[in-house]
Amino acid sequence: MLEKESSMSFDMVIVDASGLQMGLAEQIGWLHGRFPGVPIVVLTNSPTWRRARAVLLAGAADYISLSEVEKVLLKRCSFLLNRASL
Amino acid sequence: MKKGADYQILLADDDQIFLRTCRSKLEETDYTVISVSNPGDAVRVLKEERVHLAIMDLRMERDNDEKDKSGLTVAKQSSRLIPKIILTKFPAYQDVVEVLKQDLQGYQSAVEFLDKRDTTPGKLVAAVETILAQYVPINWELVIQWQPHNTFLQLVNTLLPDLPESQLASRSAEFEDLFRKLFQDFVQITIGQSFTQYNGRLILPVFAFDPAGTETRFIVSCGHQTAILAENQRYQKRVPDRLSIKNLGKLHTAMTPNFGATAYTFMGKDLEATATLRQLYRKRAIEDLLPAIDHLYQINLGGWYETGREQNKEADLQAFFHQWLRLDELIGSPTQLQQILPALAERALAANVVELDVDGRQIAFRLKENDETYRFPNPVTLLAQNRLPQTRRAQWGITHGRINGNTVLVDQQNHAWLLDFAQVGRAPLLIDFVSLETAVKYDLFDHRAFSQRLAIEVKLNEVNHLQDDINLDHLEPEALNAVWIIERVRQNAAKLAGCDLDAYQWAIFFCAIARIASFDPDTFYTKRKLAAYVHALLTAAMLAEQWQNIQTDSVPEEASNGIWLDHRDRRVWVEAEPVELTSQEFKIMRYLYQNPGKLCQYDDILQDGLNELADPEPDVLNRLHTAVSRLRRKIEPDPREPRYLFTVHGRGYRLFLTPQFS
Repeated sequence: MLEKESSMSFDMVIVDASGLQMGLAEQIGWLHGRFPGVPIVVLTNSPTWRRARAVLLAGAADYISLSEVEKVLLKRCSFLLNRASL
Repeated sequence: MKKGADYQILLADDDQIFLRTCRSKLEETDYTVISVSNPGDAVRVLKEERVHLAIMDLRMERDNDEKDKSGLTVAKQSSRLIPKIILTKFPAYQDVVEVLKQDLQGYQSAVEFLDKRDTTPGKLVAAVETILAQYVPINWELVIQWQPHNTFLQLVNTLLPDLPESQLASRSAEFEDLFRKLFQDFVQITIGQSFTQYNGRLILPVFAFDPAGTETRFIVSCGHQTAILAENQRYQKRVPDRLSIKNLGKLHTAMTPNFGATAYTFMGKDLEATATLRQLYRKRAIEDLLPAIDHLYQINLGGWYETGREQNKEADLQAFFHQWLRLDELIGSPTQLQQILPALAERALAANVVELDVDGRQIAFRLKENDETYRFPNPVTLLAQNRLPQTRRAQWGITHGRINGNTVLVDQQNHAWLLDFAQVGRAPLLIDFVSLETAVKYDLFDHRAFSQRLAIEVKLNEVNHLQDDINLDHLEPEALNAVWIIERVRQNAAKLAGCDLDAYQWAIFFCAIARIASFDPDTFYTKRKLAAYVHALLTAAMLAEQWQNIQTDSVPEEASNGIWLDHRDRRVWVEAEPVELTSQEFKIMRYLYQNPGKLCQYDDILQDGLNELADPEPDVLNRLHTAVSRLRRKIEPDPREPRYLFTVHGRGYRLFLTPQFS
């Protein structure tokens, strides 16, 4: 959908890693190219340290387990939006 | 590793076997390794030694304690300019996120996270090579020459005179790294003698040659990292027209944990034949320097002044001058300033400069050359009693803020070039003129007879308008030269800053007071320096004579309505009621007050009002919000319905001097 809607712009992109059709790091790279400077947050229901390392080194701003989404998502998003506004 | 490279790596781990194995593999590859086994030593090494990369165990204290993240704590505490690798035998995704995600400024605690169990020494060396190439690009093949004899050691000694000798070699090597980073694309540089040194920075000419042998000339500002960052921010944010040939063009900046440097391309013809105004003052005929003064103001700074000029802006000039000249830091109170005058008199007499007789009412200057005594009112008393003329209007715009003999370069074509952008900002335009007049009188002019200093002041005080020609009769050549330059500076001030004599003299008075206040009775001064301090006292005293009959009301008229800032008592009046402020609140208030009705952005308040770096840490920003909130409670009749101080969410604050009712 994002590929089709080329005019859309966002302040933040939240990606559910479980629904991805390509590799995670590759996806983050594509999103970075598509939305430069926009923070990308990756959600996952099966977090692993290797995936966390791969997505963060690929440029994701955060990596959050779905099990803690309710607890931390708003706080982390608010931090990232504040950072972007500075 | 690249030939000739001299990378130093910190290896910190409590596992002695891992430490030995990795150290030996890294040393085989010609890296210099400093190994430590506890967080305290790691912090010390990162602070004191020259380290290009740090490799740290996540659990450096207790391997079986999942709460032990001492390696990460060390990484967060140390310079973010040193890239780090975090290793652990117990990788967890939460730790990876904490290590690799970016903070508010976009920095990571470490740049790599590795599992020790599958990191062989060979893999570690490969990771080190990748990270050094990406994050620590040092041009090891650069040939560095000096002109004349000088060394990095001497530069560091100049910048850090109190540095323990044990750290000198390490800091000196780090300073060399800085230049090797800065001149990435060159094969050879020649570093010339420093033009000026001020406030933690040195400014040097550098001649650089690229692989094709083409020479490029640079002016390099280098020194303490914080000072360079602050200068860069000012240059990028404030200097108008910065890519124009009238100014230095920016190349780039390099940083190391302790130092920073910015190279500006010099677009003049011959940097070797270019010198500071101070250097040329005695070497060239003054007639030759006058076109340089015109070029400085009319061509170079003239473009700056046209950017965002505000005609007759009403602002508290006294507050501005206190801040600009750091008078609060220098004198504390007029009583303290009064106390240093007898010490100055004693030293001036001992050095045979002049005989001074100081009391609270007047100052007598007894000149041995003609055995005459000249009496003037004590200017500090006038300042303490706030009996100065009311000068509130001036033209404001972008100013350099520190024009003197060291910050102006003059080339062979008598074109002037500006150095030092650390004080650039919005200010009354007249400061760029009074600062040069002050420098001419107290720093460049030199004459054994104090009577010539008196003669200069008499001539300067004879004029009725700033642009008037000054009577040069009966001046000796050295005094004539000084007056000639000052006359040209003043004529430019009248023309370009729309300045009148009253405002100009008022500013000169404050510059003289700041000079007197910088006198330290415990420091040794040469006779020439002492003469300059006494000259500043003479300047202020002669102006005080002109103003001594001015009376001020006990409660200023401005205090009766809206907001008025009383700088002398460091308090604000709100609707005729005085409000006491803390030092921090006062500084914030002063900045907002100088920009009435305007949006004052957070980083401007921090940088210009509080002298903090822009791009603040979150806790700095939070402290600002808290301080403004306290300020609002003090000045607003009802803080829930502000009339004066408004928040512009996410951006800054706006202060109105008259109440705004919704």
